[in-house]
Amino acid sequence: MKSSLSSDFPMLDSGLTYLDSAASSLTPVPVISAMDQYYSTYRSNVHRGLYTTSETATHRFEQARETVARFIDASPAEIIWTSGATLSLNMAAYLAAQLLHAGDEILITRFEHHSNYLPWQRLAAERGLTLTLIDPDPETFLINAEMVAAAITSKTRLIAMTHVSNVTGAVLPIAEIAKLAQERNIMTIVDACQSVAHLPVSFRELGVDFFAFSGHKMYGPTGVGVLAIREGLHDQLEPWILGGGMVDVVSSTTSTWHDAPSKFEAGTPPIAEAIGLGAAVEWINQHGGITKFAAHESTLYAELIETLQSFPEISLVGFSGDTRNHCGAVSFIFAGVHGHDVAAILAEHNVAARAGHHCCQPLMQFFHVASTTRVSLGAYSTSADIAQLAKALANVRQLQK
Amino acid sequence: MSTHDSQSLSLYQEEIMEHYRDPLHHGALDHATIVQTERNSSCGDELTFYLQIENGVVTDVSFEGEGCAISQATASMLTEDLIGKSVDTIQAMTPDDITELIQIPLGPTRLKCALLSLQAVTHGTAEYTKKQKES
Ligand SMILES: Cc1ncc(COP(=O)(O)O)c(C=O)c1O
Repeated sequence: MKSSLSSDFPMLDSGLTYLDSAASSLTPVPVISAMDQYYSTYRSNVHRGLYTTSETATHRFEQARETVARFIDASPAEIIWTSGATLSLNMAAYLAAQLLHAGDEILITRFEHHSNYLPWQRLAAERGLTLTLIDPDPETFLINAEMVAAAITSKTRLIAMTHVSNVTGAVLPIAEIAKLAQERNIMTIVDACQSVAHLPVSFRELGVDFFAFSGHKMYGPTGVGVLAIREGLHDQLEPWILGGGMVDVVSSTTSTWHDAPSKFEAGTPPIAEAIGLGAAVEWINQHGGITKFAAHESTLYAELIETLQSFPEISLVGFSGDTRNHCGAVSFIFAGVHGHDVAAILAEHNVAARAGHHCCQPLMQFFHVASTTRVSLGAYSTSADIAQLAKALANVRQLQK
Repeated sequence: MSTHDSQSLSLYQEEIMEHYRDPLHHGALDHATIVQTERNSSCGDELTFYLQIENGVVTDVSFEGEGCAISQATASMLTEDLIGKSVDTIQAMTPDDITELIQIPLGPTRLKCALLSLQAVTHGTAEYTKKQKES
């Protein structure tokens, strides 16, 4: 059975079984159309022109910001457009660094994608900060708030963590951790790449300081992402990137900035992409919202786990034993077969999955594996996709030595 | 093993599978003249080639390491190809030589798996030549 959403995804017309939404989700037609419309009918720069198309572009661009703000329950001024989560996280590190001092400690988790790992690693080395890794529990492979509380020391000033692991799908209790952090005056940075399209989120209720995600993993286009920065921090932070569109007054020696969000958005922003991302959120809302997607995906996730566990050759990597602790992605090893070969056999059966370290080498080291095969779900995923995966996996057996 | 249409296009053809299951010249080589290890950082695979050189010509060869079927089978096929070749010839080998050797169409991602062996032998021989010149 095809998904009722599948008619919105031309990529699925060929019968592709797409199980790589954690890497990038497919794009529905209304998103493509919204960007086409910008390019063909009101293509202009924003915030500069007094002519109609520039005003339309500015209006639609700012409307997209409002739409995305409402989607994550933030204020529009808190939404900073970036080129994607990687830039968002690097920017978060630069901005947060302004509030850190030599000797301070940064806590990060073993789950982090390299984009939420390397910026902190370099910052720590350059600024004489301590970087401490929180490992998952060796039995459940989860990280809970008690574990974070136990890791906090009197030096801890910042916690950077993913909301959902892109390798194991493990969900972290962000609100609980943020509460602990607030009580101790510790900043929090959340990588929400794998959560925004799969779990209902409220930036306000989570109570975190920085919140980063990419458009292309939530049915939007590539080339756009968001860094949400809590309003209370705006005046304490100096912008990272300087240039056009952000200055109030420039004199020969000093300059003053506009208020956020402009302050943090020098240069021409990704206009078409931001409009496309706004359209993606509207598309999500029109189809029942993330609450509905989450319910659908959690049923499928359980089905997926059951299917994988029906293969005696397959060991799940980092699965806690309870699907309620996970969302979106699952990793596994097929005994005696290299991950590339698993993914290649799946590809020969028109199943798109991914093998490798998933930009999480520290986590691979924790699991003592070089790579895993990962399958992941989107709103358009169906039981038929899982059945096709099972069929393809049966053919992986021919590669066992 | 079942065969159907999609599998006739498979990367995993008979010859590849034979080399993968039962690789030639597998294991370390004592007294090797050249020992060269290469890693593919995207998947963590590692291959080591051992070459024994006499009068500028390969007289014995072996490989060991972990990897996918394509990288292992290519390494095995390459070992056969190298014996009797001169260091200079090996140093000048190109990716085309590898695709000709394995005779399967590889996409850019899998090509990297196949080329790990080539890297090992070209880097190893280049290093060897450099040292010869220095001494
Ligand atoms: C958890 C997580 N964080 C960060 C990123 C980086 O996102 P992007 O490559 O879109 O900047 C990804 C995407 O691979 C991810 O899965």
